[in-house]
Amino acid sequence: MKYLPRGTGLAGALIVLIIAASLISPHFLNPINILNVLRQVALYGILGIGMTFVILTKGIDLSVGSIVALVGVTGAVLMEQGVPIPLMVLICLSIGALVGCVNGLGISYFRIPAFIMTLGCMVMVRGFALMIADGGTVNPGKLADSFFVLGGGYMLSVPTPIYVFAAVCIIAAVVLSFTRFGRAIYAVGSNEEAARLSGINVPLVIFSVYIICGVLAALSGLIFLSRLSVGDPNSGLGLELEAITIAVIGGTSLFGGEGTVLGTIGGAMVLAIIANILNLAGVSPFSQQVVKGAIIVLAVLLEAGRKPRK
Amino acid sequence: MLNITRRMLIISAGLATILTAAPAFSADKIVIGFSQASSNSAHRNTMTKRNQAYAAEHFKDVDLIVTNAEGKSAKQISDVESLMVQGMKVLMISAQDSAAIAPTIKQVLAAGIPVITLERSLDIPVTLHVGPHNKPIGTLAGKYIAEALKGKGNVVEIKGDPAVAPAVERHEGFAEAIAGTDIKVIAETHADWDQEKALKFMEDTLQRFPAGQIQAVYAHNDNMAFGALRAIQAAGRDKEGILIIGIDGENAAIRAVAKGDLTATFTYSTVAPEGVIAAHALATNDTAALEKLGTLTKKDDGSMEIEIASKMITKENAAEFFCKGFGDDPECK
Repeated sequence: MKYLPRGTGLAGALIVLIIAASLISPHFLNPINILNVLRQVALYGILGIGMTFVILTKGIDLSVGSIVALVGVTGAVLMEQGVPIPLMVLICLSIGALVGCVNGLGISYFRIPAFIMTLGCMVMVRGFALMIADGGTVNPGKLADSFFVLGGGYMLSVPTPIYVFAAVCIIAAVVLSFTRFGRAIYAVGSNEEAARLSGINVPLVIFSVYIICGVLAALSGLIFLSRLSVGDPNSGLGLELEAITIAVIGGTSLFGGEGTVLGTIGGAMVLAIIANILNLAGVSPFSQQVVKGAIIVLAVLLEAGRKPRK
Repeated sequence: MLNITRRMLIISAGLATILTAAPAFSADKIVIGFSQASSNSAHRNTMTKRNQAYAAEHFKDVDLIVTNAEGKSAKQISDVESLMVQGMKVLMISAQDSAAIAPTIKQVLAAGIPVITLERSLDIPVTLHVGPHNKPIGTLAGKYIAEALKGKGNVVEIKGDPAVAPAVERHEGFAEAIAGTDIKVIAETHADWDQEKALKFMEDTLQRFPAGQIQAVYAHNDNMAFGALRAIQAAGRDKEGILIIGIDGENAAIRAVAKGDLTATFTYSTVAPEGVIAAHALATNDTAALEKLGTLTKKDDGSMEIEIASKMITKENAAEFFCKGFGDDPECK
């Protein structure tokens, strides 16, 4: 298997999944269902892309789920106060950037381990969300229709989040493959010392990836808010694990330096299809978790089997 | 040496201030302690605030001290201990974990302080439990659906977090109510009270069961009922007349019922102001006040219970309940 090109395991798993899914349920290939699945891919894929940037530098960001919650309640409160939508969106994205900044500063300049730093932020940011929402959900009343389009609407009969996800993927792929910054990210993840000696500003690179991850989490939070039309400070629990899973299934190495945008898209698709088909097949909620876990391990095994052991 | 002396001085000065200030703070007032478990739900926050507001307005003789355990049993134990130090006459508690707090509660009872549990009961007998019951709510919902569908039809059940009693009991009551009818649960999940999870599940379920195959959705809370509603609307299937039933009586859900988006919801009491009224009644031995709060049962072990019954909210009576539930509603400000 080690002579097969990169990503073969994942592509194979995806094809097997799609064939199995269409055999298990006649509804799977229904165009509306496909669009449903793609919307799920988009919602979680955006978080997965942010996580890919961070994991490429050998980092981790546990605060993304909390950012989704904080952005949700802040956005809802701002709308409630009649703040214009574009300004609200800008403020929310800045919140993501700000949390990313705090994470990045702690990790790159104060050398706090990423796991601890982002864990701290995860708890703190969730606290802010609960404070702002006073524990309950924030209901902005009648949402501006133009905002609902972002999460719940369609453009040319394709759900809007898919366009957002596509844009994010294209930009991310260009940055990672064709810019000096992208190459620096891979270099820092593969060998930090070598990267530093070759003149890369390592702390700056690490700092930047957390801001990217924070902004993408905020973008995802805006889509969740638009989709649900209420801000829920308890939403997004466990999303960080979902994002990490997506990146890892997609072939991003937790040891840094290895991973692609295309892989992450594939990872998001695997997770979304599994969840969809289990519901379509009417599998009991408890068995669903077992099956999901097993398929995740299997997908990663298939991908790992391709690589020669170090 | 000098340093230590100075520190001792500061500490004793601090202690002296606390000791002199504490009695002055609650001179001749009845101190009621309220140990709240957490503040991450609108239901609990409404419980805290309405009890506080009611006490401030109606009980001038009461000093209500509220603590918040922030979801941690260990903190709740030290909260209760500190309330004892402050000389409380009655303890109101909404427990984070029924088992973990039990030994502390036994100490409080042993000290002769009556204990009232709000909403969540303990495994040990306390003076009084006040709260709604989950199983009858599930039964009400089941009966409502059975009647509305004339005993025949397919239901999707969206359950809460299986780790806690409300989800289990809301399911049991419902299952008993529809047993023997031709009402079938054709799909179910645990969406853990989460709207996004319910939405996602409903999107898939709508694919699995095409038009005409789903007659009702029974969600264990209003939040998940909203998730189902959004999926049904997005799929353009809101014209099929699928009944969507929630539980809790959140303000936003009551509005949605009035509008016809949701079919019905069932109130789940926040035990406010009933909690503080009961506490005041115990502190002043005013048993007549207790009887007015709900169905009072006296048990063999000497403990008492007041069940606050759930009320059904449908389009007909929704307007009576506007702003009387809990949670955010822009039109209630």
